Amino acid sequence: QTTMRISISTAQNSHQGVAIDTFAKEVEKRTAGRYKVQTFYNGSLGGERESIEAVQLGTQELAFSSTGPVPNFVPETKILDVPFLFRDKAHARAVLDGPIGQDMLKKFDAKGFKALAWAENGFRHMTNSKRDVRLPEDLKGLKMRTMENPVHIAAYKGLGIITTPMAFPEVFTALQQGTVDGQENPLSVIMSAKFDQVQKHLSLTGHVYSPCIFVMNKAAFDKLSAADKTAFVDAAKEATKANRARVDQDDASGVAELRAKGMTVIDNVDKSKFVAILAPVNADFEKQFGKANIDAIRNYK
Amino acid sequence: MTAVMISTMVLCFALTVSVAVSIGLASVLGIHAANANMLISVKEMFSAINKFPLAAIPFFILAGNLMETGGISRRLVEFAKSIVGGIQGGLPMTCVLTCMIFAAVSGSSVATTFAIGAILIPALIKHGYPTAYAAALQATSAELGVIIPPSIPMILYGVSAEVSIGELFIAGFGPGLLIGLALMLFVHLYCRWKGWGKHDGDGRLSFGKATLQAGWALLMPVIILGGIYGGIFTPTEASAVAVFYALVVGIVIYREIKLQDLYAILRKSVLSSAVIMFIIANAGLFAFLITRAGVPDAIGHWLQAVLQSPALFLLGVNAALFVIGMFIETSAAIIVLAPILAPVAVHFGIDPVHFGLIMVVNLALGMITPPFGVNLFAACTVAKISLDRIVTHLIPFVLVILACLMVVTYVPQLSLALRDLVYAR
Amino acid sequence: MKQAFLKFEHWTTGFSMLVACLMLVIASTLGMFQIVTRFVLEQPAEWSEILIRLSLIWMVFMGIPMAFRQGAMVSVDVLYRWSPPKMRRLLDWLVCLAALALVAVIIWWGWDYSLRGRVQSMAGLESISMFWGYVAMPVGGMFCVIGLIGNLMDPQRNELETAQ
Ligand code: NA
Ligand code: NA
Repeated sequence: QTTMRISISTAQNSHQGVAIDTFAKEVEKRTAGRYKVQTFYNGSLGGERESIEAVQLGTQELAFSSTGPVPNFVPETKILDVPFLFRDKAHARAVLDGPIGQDMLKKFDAKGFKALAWAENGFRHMTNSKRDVRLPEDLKGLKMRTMENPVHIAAYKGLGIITTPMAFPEVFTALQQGTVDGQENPLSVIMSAKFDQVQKHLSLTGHVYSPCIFVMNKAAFDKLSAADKTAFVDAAKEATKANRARVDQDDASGVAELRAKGMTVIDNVDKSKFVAILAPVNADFEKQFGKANIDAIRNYK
Repeated sequence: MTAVMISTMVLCFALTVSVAVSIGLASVLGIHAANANMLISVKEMFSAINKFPLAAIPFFILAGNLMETGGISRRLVEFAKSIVGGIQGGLPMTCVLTCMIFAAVSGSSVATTFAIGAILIPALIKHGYPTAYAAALQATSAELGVIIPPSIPMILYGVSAEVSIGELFIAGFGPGLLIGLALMLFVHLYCRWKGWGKHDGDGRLSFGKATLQAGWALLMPVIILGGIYGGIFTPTEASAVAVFYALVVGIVIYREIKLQDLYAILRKSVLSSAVIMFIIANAGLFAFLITRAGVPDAIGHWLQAVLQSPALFLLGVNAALFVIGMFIETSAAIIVLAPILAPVAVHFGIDPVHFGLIMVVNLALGMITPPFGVNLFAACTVAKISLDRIVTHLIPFVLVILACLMVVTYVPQLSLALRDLVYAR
Repeated sequence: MKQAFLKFEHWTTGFSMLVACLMLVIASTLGMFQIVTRFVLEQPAEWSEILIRLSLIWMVFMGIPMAFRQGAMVSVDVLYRWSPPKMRRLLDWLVCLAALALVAVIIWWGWDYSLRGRVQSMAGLESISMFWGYVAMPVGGMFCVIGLIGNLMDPQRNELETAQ
């Protein structure tokens, strides 16, 4: 029996925890117990960047991570961070499961990874303590905690937001104290971090889709027999199903729950107005990533 | 693997190998014993210090050194003396109060010992207090350096247990105040019993004059903490502000720092920061390896099964930390133990911020318990006395802190009330 | 021979200390800069945080050679204080060899890690590879070796100056 390790940076009871728990169970089942996957939660083996690097180096066999730090390893994935690239979850999932997404998975091979499957955190939405955000003008001058992602930051600046990178444990108190006015995250994170206690306004902007990925060390994957390789890939696919089902469930219950906790939720944001404001930034992105590539994703049916 | 790591570490400690190297070497042998990839060693050392909130450590150290050279210790002593110096035992009480105030600009206990002890230990001896008593008093009072914010151990706990450093800082005021007042009351009664210090108040400044003199120094905690809790900056940014505030006060206002002094101050700050960050790097590697081996989960389950109530858990943790604190360096202990113990505390319904305060107060006590206590060594160095001679004077102080620790442990409001007030929970 | 080495060591350790001090100056200046850009100019730069972390890591690995040289690493030195001079000399050797063993790992595997980090770009500073972060470890490690041998030839124990 061979034991492998997989880690996530969120809690076990989360859309990511469901993913790796399902994966571990499926791998064991599909390889008749010859492979066991040990699961680590809450970033106990390090943050997302560290876990992806560990897989690349081979000090850890597997990791499940959002694609946040992935462009530093596989630059081709950066395009997925472009705001308002996907219409909805169905569109995003279809693109990632279709030829575009599968081609992108192959790009990982040359960097020492075997990318097993795409999964997701869902869409990111904005919250703040100042005002309801319905139009892009409402964002002007809001101080928001953002991730250290150059594509995100370029877009948020384009919307007039004052971006502020900050370590996650500080975000709650920073919101409370008004060091920043707002933040943006998927609903599951907004709920688990209890941001509803310190934020009044939620807008379902869905401005960025946040994919996740199962990565495995390439050498470790190549050592598997052909049947076991299939078993690992299929296990990841099953895990993705469980992960997406949980995200759907969190999204459905999240809005009602956050409303019940006193947040005002704007759920009819006119995204086209935001896209229009972002035209100059998008022109830059089209130059950077190729207009044809962006259009291929946007127009994917 | 865990056995190899722990036995190597203990053996190296005993052979006087430095804390950082002992932990690092134990980890390297652990990786070897587990047949794992040696790249883990450097990767995890790097990861452990590649964290932005840790930048506050060198910044607060640099700010503290600038303040010290800039002449604030002396002014703070005069200020504290003008408040409590007048009664019997006023000089030892001044020592405690000065440490409390200095603690609000310094994140470290040893720095507090050197800064305040250099002035007050000679003064205490001159006023007829036994040298050993002065050293024990100074070592104990300086503990407040890490309990009253800012605090390096709190930063480390916040980073390791993923708890807000801002919340930890504000939770330190209650316990800091309690320990400070308890120590002052104790030294006053002790001096009356011994008949010491009847003329401690001679030649002190008036309160108004002393306040005016110390004004710029007293303003520093107001700016730093006001900035954090007024929602202007994060604790890490506050540390950078502290550096520039101290620089401006020292060079432009007090004019006690000469430009040519700056390199010496920088060197001293780099040495202190590098030593502690290297301990953090190695302890981070050690913590990673035992996490990877599943040790924290095992200990957590065991603790939950054996210590079935929160009260028992806290008692057990306090006893264990007291023993660990006798032998192990504070930052290393926090980095390795916080990720193990904090989740169990949360499971028992204990606020992780309150638990952080328990850990910090307990391990701060470790800084004055022999055989290994950095504060103790520092106070002995300043007082030029050997460690074994101060132990008898130390025991009552340790008991006072232990009593305070019990209050901190079983009265969570002491730590949390102010936080809840400021954050309007 | 001994004097020549110590002179060389004095120069190398002093140099690494100078670099470390420079790194602290850069980091604290950037820390202040970050606040100014955010609050006064309301245009925060996303590269200041990564540069602060990086310069502090360089500060650590370029600062520890001097700490090793001056015997400034905090240790549990009960045994040392109770030992006669001959025993102390033996402990000096042991302490030095233990540190050299750890530093050897840092140099060897740190260099390997740096080379592997070439393909990874930095978050916040895409144009720079992680090599320039990781290489602080083997570079600092080389200076540590010289400092450690210097301390063995001319022992000093200054741990209290640096303890926190
Ligand atoms: Na303090
Ligand atoms: Na101790």
